[in-house]
Amino acid sequence: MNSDFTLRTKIGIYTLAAMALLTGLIALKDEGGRSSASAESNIGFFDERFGRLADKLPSSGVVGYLSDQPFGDHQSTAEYYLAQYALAPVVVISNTDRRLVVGNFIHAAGSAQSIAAGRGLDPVADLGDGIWLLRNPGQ
Amino acid sequence: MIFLWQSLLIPWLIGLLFLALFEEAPGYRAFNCFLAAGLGLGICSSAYFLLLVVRAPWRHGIALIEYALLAALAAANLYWWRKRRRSEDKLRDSHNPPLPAAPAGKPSWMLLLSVAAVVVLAAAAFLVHLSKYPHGGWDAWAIWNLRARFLFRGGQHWRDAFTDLISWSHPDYPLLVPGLVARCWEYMGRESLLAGQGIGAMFTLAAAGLLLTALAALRGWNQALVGSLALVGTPLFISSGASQYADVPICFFVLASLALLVIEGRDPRRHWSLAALAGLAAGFAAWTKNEGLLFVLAIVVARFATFSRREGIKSAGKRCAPLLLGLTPPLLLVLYFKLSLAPPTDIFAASGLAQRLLDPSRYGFVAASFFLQTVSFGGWFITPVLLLAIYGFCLGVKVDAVDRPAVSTVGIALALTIAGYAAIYVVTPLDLGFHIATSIDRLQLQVWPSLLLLYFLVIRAPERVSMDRKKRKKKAR
Repeated sequence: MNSDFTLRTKIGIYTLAAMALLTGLIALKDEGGRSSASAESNIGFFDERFGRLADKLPSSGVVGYLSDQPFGDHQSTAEYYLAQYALAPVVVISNTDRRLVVGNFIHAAGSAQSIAAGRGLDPVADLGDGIWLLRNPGQ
Repeated sequence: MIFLWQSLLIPWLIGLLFLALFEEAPGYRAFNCFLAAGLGLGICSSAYFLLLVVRAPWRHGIALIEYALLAALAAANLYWWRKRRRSEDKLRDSHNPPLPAAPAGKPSWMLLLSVAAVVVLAAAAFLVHLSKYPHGGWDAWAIWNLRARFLFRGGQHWRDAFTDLISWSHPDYPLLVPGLVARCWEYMGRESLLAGQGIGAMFTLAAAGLLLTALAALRGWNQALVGSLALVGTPLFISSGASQYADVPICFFVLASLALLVIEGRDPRRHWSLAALAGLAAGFAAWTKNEGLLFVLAIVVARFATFSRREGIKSAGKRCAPLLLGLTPPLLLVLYFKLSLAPPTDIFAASGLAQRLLDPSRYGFVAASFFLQTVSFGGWFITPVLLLAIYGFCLGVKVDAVDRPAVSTVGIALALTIAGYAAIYVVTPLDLGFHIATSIDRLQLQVWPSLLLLYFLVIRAPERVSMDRKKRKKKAR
């Protein structure tokens, strides 16, 4: 320790140093214990799933999006954003008013066709894991 | 992998050679090394954007363009070096008063060990965060890396990135970070998560190094180490860097700009170049995020206010000229982007603006949120406000006369920036609680390293406390 420092100086410095060390240890422990269950921490998984559509879509333009989840909650919003992240530079909008529509039925893969039919959409391709390419015959 | 390293190394070399064109202030070599990293990244991001605008297919030649820039800078340096050598004798004879130096003193080994331990913990937390979120945090993938994909994959359609059909991705945000990520991919010839991660790491390291070396040159090594403890020990700073958020790059540019103005105050001989570099850094802050435009306004007003009070309006105008000159290139870029590509910013939606402005409850809510967030800022075990207050109480306050104008400029600029953040919350058309909850910590982070710079410029350095005590003892004898 620097012997030139007064006791007050040492108190000032080492209180901060001790708390920085303690905070660093806690932060490291928290980082290690962080849950990886949400869509945000499984981006690679969603990126790969939605990415299967890339070859089936035009290289630019706008496509629609339909999910088996009601739009608005954190998870379904994240999944829609992840579809856009995976499929850029194609623009993905969260409605079905386009000729081609991305179907995300991960939570109800079995009822994908009935959900699509309910919205007047025709299936074009099943890419597995609840990912579908749909067509809107009205567009 | 080698192309990734190349894509990160080239901007640093460009920054170093660019800074070498300006005569270096003695004692600021280490500071310049860190400054070069950020300025070089800013220059390369701007070059990439210009290539996109001029002719999209050209962007694949970004490496060639940057190597050409590197060669041009090297040639310019050689020319200046020869010219300077010829006039060296004349300069030696001219009256060159020595610059005010930081208090001399060896760094305390105990303090060095503490900083080393905190840096190791922070680096480990950074890596763990990266391994869990390789695509970055929400804003990184939903805004910055998404935009980079549009730029890289889009070919002739790269402008689709700015459609307001996906307004949730904030297509009005400037392009420093997405441009850098896409530029790295151009170097690598493919997309890689390492690009965003590398840029995040580079800005985090550069911001921490910049604060350390600025304080070391201005206030001595012990004060610099304590300042670094306060920054690197802030978990939010580390996690935001690892999350690839643009808040860390903007932290860097705000800090660089203000630190350069403080150095300029001590080195009037290099007044023009240092103030112009401060302007350039402030301009790159505006090229990083919309909040950077607020900072640009704040720093110009702060400098003008400080010097008009001290030296009169005419002199204040002259003081602002180099700052404005440095600001101009990146601001022109931002202006072009805003006028020709970006959709309007949603924050200033006119409908209901008067109603929001006249609602007193919004002011109270914003003020209370700022207070509460300040107390719990950064993820510290104990509020850093208390720890800094203890440090300040133990060491006392002392602003060197030479630093007073710069300290005033920095203080006013930061106060105006924070007031601007608060004003944006007051007028936001978004749900106020949601808007504050999802952004206030990162807004405060943007000014955190600069607030630390200001604080440790105002508080007496440990070496100074020892010197003052010795002087008092001598006097008493």
